[in-house]
Amino acid sequence: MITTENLTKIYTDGAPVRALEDVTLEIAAGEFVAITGPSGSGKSTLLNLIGTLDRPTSGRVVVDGVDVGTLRGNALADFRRERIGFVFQMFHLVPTLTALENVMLPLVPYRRGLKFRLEDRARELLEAVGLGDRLHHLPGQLSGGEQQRVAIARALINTPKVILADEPTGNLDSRAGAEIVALLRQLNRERGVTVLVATHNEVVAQAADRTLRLRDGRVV
Amino acid sequence: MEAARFIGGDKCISAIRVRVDGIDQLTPQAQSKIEAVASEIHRKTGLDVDIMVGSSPRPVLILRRSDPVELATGIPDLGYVEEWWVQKNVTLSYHRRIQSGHLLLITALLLTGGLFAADMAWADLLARQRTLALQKALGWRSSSLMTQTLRRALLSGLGAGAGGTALAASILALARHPLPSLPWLLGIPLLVTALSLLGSLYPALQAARVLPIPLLQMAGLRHRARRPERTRGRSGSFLLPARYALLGVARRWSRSLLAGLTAALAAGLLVLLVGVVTDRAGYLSGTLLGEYILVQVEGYHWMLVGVGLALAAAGMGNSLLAGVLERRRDIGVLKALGWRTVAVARLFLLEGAVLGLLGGVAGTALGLSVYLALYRSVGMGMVWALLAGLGVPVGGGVLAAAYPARMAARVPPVEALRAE
Repeated sequence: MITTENLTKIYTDGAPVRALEDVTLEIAAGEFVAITGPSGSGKSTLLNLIGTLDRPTSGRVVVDGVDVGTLRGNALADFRRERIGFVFQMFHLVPTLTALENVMLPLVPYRRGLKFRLEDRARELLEAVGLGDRLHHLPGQLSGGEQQRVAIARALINTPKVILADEPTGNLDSRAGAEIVALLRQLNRERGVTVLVATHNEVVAQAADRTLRLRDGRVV
Repeated sequence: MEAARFIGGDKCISAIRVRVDGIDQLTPQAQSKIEAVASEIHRKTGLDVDIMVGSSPRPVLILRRSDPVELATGIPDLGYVEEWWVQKNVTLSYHRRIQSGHLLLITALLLTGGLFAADMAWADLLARQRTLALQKALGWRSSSLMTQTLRRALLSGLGAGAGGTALAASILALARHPLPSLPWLLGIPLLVTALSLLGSLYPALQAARVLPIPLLQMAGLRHRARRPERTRGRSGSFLLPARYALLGVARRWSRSLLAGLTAALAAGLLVLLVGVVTDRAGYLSGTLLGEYILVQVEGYHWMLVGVGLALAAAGMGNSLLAGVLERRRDIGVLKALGWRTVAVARLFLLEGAVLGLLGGVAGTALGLSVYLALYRSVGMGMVWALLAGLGVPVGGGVLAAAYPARMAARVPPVEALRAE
C-alpha cells in the first residue's frame, strides 16, 4: 500500500537539517504500523512526506500505486482528499464549526459529485466513534479525547485507503489515549484501512502489528 | 445686447445673465468691481441689474416662447414651464448653503478616513501584540506602551498627510491648476495627523492593557467560538461555507465593524447621490440638522464617494487579510484534507462578499434615512440607488478579498502541522 524508496528530506531554511535519510520501507494494505523514535528522529517528516503535505529532497513515495512525486496542484489535493485521512496531535478541528460540520468539512466543496448524503455519512461516523450525542457541540465544548474522535471521524469521511496519525495520543491523558488507540485498531480491523501511527507512546506501539524505529532520520 | 436683439427681436428679453470675469472669491474688492460693472450696465442700457453669487438654481415658473426658428418651423409657444433658475437677492445665503452642503460631504469623507485610520491602528496593534506582551514582561510601563502606539500613529499620520498633500499638489500643478494657499498646504497634513491620532486612541488604550503572560504562552490569537451551544435547525453542508464566512466576520467583530462602517458610509453617500441624480435632477436640497442645503451633484462628489469606497475596500481587505493570517492553521488543515486551491480562495471571497453586504445594508439604511429626512418621499430612481448601495459594497468586498483569498490559497498544507 505504501512504499518509500531512498527517501531523504533536508530542511534548508537556516542551518541544513537532515530530517530523514535514505528511508526505504514497505507497508502492506490493512497493516497497523507504529513508527517510534525520540523527538526529532523524523517521524513527523516521514508521515508528512507519505501524506503529500511536504515534498522529499530526494527519493520516491508510492501510495496505493500512485507515485506521489508526479502529482502537482489540484491532483495533489484530490489525491489527499480521496485516499488519505489525517489525524493530528493537536486535533486541528475548526473551532467555529460543530462536530458534525467538522466531519463534513473535507468534502463540503465537492459534495455535488457524492453518491451519498454528506450529512448522513458524517452522522454515521460520529455515531461509530461514540459521539452520537455530541453532533452539534463545538470543539471547545468537547474533551480532548472527544475532539480526537471527531478528528478520526473526519479522517474517515472520504473512506481513505490510509490513515496517517501523528502522535494522536500526545495531547491526551493515558485513558483517553488508550481509547483512541483501541478505536484506531478497531477501524483498522473492521474497515481494512491501513493505519500508520507516529508515537512516543509504548502502549500505542504494542497495539501495532509492527513497529518501525527511527533514529536521526534512519530506520534502525 | 446686440446678440440678444438678433436672436429674440426687440421685446422678448426678460433677463440676461452676465458673468463677471476674474471673480472667484467673495472679497470686498470683488464686490466693488462687480458693483462698478453693474452700475455701468445700468447707465449704458437702462436695464435693472441684480448682483448674485453662485449659480445654484431653484424652480421658477417662466413663460417659454418659441424662438424665430421654431416659429418658422411651425412650433407654437410652449407655455409656462418650471425651470431651475437663480433667484434674486438671496445670493450670499445661497453661497453659505452651498458651502454647508459641500461640508457635509467632506465631513463624511473625513469620517471615512478617520475610521480607516482606526482600522489601521487596530491592525497594527494586533500585529504587535506579542511584542507588546514581551515589552511588558521586560518591565515596560503601560503608559510607555500607550505613548509608543500613539507615536506610531503620529508618524504614520504625518507621513500620510504630507504624502497625500504632496501628491494632490503635484496633480494640481500638472493640471496647471492654482495651488491652495500655504495655510491649507500645512493644515491638511495636520488634520490628517489629528485623525490618525484620534483613530489610534482606543488601540493605544488596548496596548496599555496587554497582559504579559497569556500572550507569550499563546501561539497566535486565541480561537474563540462565538456561537450558541447548539445550532438550531438543520446544519446542512450547503450553507456551511456561508456560515463559516459569517463566523469569520463575526470572529473579528471589532475590525469587521470598523471596515463595515467605512463601507457603510461610502454606500450611504452613494445611495444619496444616486437617488438625488435619478429622482431630483441632480439637486441635493433640503434641511438637514437645521441647515438648509443646496448642492448640485457634480463629478467631484462622485469622486468623493469613489475615494470613500476605495478606503472602505482597503479597510475590508486589511481586515480580511488579518483573518487569513490568523487562520493559517485552519487553512492548512483544509488543504491537508484535500481542498483544492480554488475552493479555499472561494471561501475567502465569500467572506469579502459577506462583509461588503453587511456594510452595504447598513449604508443603504443610512443613505435612505438621510434621503427621507430631506425629501420625505422616494421615487422610482430609489430602486437604482438601493441596488447600487447594496451591490457596490458587495462587489468592493469581493474585490478587496482578492488578495487575502490569494494569500489563503497559497498557504501550504504543512502549515497545519507547524509546531505551536
